[in-house]
Amino acid sequence: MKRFFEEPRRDVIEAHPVMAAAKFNDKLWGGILRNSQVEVIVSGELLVALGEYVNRVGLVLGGRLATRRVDADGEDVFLGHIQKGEFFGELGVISNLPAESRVTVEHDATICWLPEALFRALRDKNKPFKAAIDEVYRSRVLGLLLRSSPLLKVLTLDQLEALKEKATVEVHEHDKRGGKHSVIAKAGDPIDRLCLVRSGAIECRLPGETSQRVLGFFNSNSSFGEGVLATSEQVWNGEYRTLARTEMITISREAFEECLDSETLDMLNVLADDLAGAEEGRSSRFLSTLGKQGAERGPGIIAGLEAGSEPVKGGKALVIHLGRCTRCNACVESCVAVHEDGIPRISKAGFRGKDKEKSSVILASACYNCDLPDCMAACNFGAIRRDMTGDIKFLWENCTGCTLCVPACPYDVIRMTHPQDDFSATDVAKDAGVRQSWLGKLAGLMGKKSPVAAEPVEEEAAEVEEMRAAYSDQVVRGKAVKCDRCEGLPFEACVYNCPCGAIERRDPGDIFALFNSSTK
Amino acid sequence: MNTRLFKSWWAPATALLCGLMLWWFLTSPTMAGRSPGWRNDRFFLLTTGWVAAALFLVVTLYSLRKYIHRFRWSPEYRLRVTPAALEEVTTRISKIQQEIFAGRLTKDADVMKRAKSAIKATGTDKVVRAQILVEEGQKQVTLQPTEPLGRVSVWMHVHIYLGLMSALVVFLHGGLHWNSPMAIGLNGLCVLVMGSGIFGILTWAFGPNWLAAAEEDLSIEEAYVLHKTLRRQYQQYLSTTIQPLDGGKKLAKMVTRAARKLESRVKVQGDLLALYGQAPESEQEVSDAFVLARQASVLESEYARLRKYKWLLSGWRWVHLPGTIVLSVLVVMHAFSVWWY
Repeated sequence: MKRFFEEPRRDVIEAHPVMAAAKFNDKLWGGILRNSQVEVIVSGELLVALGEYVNRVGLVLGGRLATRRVDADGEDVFLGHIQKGEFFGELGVISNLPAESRVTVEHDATICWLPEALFRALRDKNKPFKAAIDEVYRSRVLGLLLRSSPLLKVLTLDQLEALKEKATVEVHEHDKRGGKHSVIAKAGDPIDRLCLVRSGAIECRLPGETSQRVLGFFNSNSSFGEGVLATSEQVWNGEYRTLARTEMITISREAFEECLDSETLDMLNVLADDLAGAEEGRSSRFLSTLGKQGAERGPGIIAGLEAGSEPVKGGKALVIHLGRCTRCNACVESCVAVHEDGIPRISKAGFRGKDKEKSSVILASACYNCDLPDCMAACNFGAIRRDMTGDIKFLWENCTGCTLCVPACPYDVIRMTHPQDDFSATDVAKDAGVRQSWLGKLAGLMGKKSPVAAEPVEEEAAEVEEMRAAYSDQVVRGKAVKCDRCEGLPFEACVYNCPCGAIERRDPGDIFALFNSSTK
Repeated sequence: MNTRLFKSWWAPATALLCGLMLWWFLTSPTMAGRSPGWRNDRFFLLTTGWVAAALFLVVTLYSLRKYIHRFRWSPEYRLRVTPAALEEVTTRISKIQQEIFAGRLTKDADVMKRAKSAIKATGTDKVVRAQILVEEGQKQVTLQPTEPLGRVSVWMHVHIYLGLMSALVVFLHGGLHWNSPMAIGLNGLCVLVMGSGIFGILTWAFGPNWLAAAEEDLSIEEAYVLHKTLRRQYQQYLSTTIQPLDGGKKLAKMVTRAARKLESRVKVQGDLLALYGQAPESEQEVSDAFVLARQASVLESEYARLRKYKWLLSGWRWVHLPGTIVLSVLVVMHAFSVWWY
């Protein structure tokens, strides 16, 4: 028999220092003895599987356990031992997240299992027990979580261990019913700490009470505040607030300075400048300037204008006037020509209705850069962000091709690229209603690149080949793409190439005023 | 009617030029298309000929502008700037905006000067330009794409108006004489190209509304995609489910024919009974195939109905474009032969 149960005994359990120090009252001891189980397990048995949602906490009364996980290269990595008198499983119970390591019995062990409800009750009702458990939790979770920040990936294990000692756990409660959220950071304040989200969800909004524009969502295992280590002072670019009960690990600038040598700090400064520079940094500097000069209208309004007034081409919805559109497909074909992957970002499907002049219009399926972007909320990998021009952008290096954003978009504007050879861009274009013109076919026969099946330019061909090879196992279905307003080019292809002036950008406010009850 | 197709300053400009040409014609002792006998006559003919050729060239450039972009031959693609540069210029423009709010920048000229220098400094001057807007009483400086080659819709105005003007100039030059093979070719093709072009203008002005009104539940694009999808599904169903049945090929043909003729399912079942003497074993499969075929046929007929409008909108180009190509060749031959002889 590999596993069998024994009767729980108070003297055996109380022998464990944490349980002894807790000094539970008789009522709680009664609960422990009634609800816990003591199990004797022989070596080699699996106690917790990777990814399993555990609903009990184990206290090792005897023997020894081992924890392992599989790293990104598929290697089985030994993480450490759990000795007699230590707990395991508390990470999953406290955070409601799946197990991040595998626990097996190394030497025949005796485990006292505390069911989740009992464990929570003990933690809530006994302060010494709570403090001891939180200390174990903090120590373990930090080791796993610290590596989630791109800033800390370069550090050695010793340096991480040192940082662990200085890190603090922040738990932000969230009253969902009352709609009350905790504010984690305010726009314009200097960035004072690096935040690693352990569980829960945070949104970053443009400042201002009336602002509805979300700059980003931060879910489990994402981080923000890398600007804390930048060489120049950075400020929070928006208001960070909770969307649910959130647990974070934070590390202050002082902690970094105490734990790391100057050479490592210099390296982190460069990295932080780089991380903060592209998006957050510039916007932060912008808000910082506003804050210092005390503009009368306040940073929120100005930032709102900044993001909402289409600095280049953005912030406006794409409208096709059907009374002008000859269905020549110039818009779709020119969109295809602009993008190297040959996938059109625009489709002539969308809401149809009559405008004020009673002529038919259609809201083309191109990104509206919503104030509250559902795609961003759906993305678990931080691959969707808003830049300071107000545009929603896809960070391809973070996109895993999980397709979660595709159904999340209420306007059906997100598509997936298909790097596999068996599904060419031409097929996608055909699905979108693109039909090659006779001139396009002629150009194809002449060996020219046809606009529909546009191939990447030569210098990027190798990169694309590499990408195709990487995806050849079909683990992912490609990358998410959407209208990028022909970023970096001096035109917006669909509007620029319409011969009849049938397609144009309109203010979203106008659009909603445009549609009346006659909308089909 | 699509009035956007005609609203342009090219309309009065072209009307003025046409008026000048007519005034010259009416006040000079010449006749349209008359062989050169007097000095005045020769000058008039040569001038109108070269003006017609120049107009023809400009009008043809519209096609070049249209396709240069779609085939990625446009030099504009090489102007692309990095997102970082765009963000940098946006930040700088925001600072100018902030100074406008603070009341330190009030004059438009000063704002534009600062904005232009910010754009220049970030190397994005070929991609974005500054524009001052007043929204809700508040002056705002924004960035707009430069659109160096101009929108195709503007080129379309040029195409329409200069094309119409060239019709007048060609008439003054050639007088619609049909006295030689070259005259027949040139004048005939001119009439063909101009006629098809005018027909095209009219269809583009009115046709989109007709098509939009005809699209009841489905747009033409949706009808196209749906009917193709259903047709594919039906063919797949036939090959995997119906054809393997006993007498499957005959069954498939019957179902397809019945669905095309929009005959009722009862009629099909009757035909099947007449064929087999009893209900086939796989009645459900046949019934499903019938439903699929029927749906595909309905969508096909819907797509065919809408395609007529599409054909009206684009069919004239099958005359206009080849006519233009042949006319171009003849014009070159005509100019060369006049110079040679």
